[in-house]
Amino acid sequence: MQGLMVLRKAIVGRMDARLRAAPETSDAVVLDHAGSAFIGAAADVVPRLRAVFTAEQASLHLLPKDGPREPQCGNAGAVIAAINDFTPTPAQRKALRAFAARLPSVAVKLAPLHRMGLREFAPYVDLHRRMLRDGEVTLADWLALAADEHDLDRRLRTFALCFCLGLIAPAKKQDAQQGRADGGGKSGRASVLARIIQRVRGL
Amino acid sequence: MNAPRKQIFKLLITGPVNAGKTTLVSHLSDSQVAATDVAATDEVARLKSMTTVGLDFGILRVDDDLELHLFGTPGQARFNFMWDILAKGALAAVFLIDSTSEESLAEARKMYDYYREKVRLPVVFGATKQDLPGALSPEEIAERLDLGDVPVIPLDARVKEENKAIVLTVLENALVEAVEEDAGEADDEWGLAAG
Repeated sequence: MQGLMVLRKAIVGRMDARLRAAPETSDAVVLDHAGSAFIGAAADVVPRLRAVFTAEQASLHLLPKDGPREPQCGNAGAVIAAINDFTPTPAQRKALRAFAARLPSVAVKLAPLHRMGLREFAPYVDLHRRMLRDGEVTLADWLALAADEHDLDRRLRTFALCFCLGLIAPAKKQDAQQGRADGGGKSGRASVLARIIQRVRGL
Repeated sequence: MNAPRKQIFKLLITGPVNAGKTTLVSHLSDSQVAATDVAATDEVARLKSMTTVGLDFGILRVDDDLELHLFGTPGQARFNFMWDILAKGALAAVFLIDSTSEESLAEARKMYDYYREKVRLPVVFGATKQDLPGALSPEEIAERLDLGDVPVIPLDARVKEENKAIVLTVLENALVEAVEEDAGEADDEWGLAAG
């Protein structure tokens, strides 16, 4: 799942970078990313993104900051458009599930993705609600709740979307003690937040 | 040996008058809330008899060396200047809006325009009084206020669990952003190499 990893890295890091991916089902794909958008028209970018989602081999190469920028396709809109019409093959389904199973439990950020064109908002809301209720969510457990293959695909799309756009992050519960030593600076902020969240949950 | 210094962070609760800010601060605080309510004398008097002219203030003690201070700001845009002071050391903000009131919407717009330009902390909107006739839906509120990627959550401000949920939502949003900031361009923020 290198494709997902490099996509996330480019988007979350707001990088100016070229993504190269080698999906099994199509020719090699190249996508340029600048800041908070992909370079190119949506009709061009979206199918390439769909190919990148499941690429096992992918890489990221930094581009000069003053490179060509037009036209641009915003991160959220492009990834949502790609996810809306993404149906994994059986092999891709298996690979996505195996990748999710390797991730630690996550915190989930709530964003109004339905306003940005996401067709399947309900699974994302469900993921967020479970995190609010339990404090964190293990993706493997959440995927295992799928009622059938169709439901599993909806959940896998939600997972891929959240991962790429930086809407999930490793839960920081384990760092609560460490945060006391870190202080309140930038590096300790996540731990401070984790401690406060635990306290609010206990009210 | 010096005792570790106590860390204090802020959570800001804001929005137009009569939206439930004072109640939220009281639900989330474990100390006596200092509420600076007075009898309303201007157009606010049509909405409620008492309004907050200073700050609602409450403390949530997290542990021996960490406190969360909750500030409920006055519900009028003319107090926007206070943001510059309150935002220092703040983790996030919750905007509450009375879904039944056009005045509330107009005031929220002024407050949020200022906030968007000057503050930029993680923010979530809570749409209160959704059970009353004529209430705008969260989607209508988002559209009218041009909220972009800011979530709007329906909320009964009288219910402690709902106040907890909206605060947890904005704190979790801040947490995800903080984790990503910490990770920067790290290759292995998920710890996959070790797994």
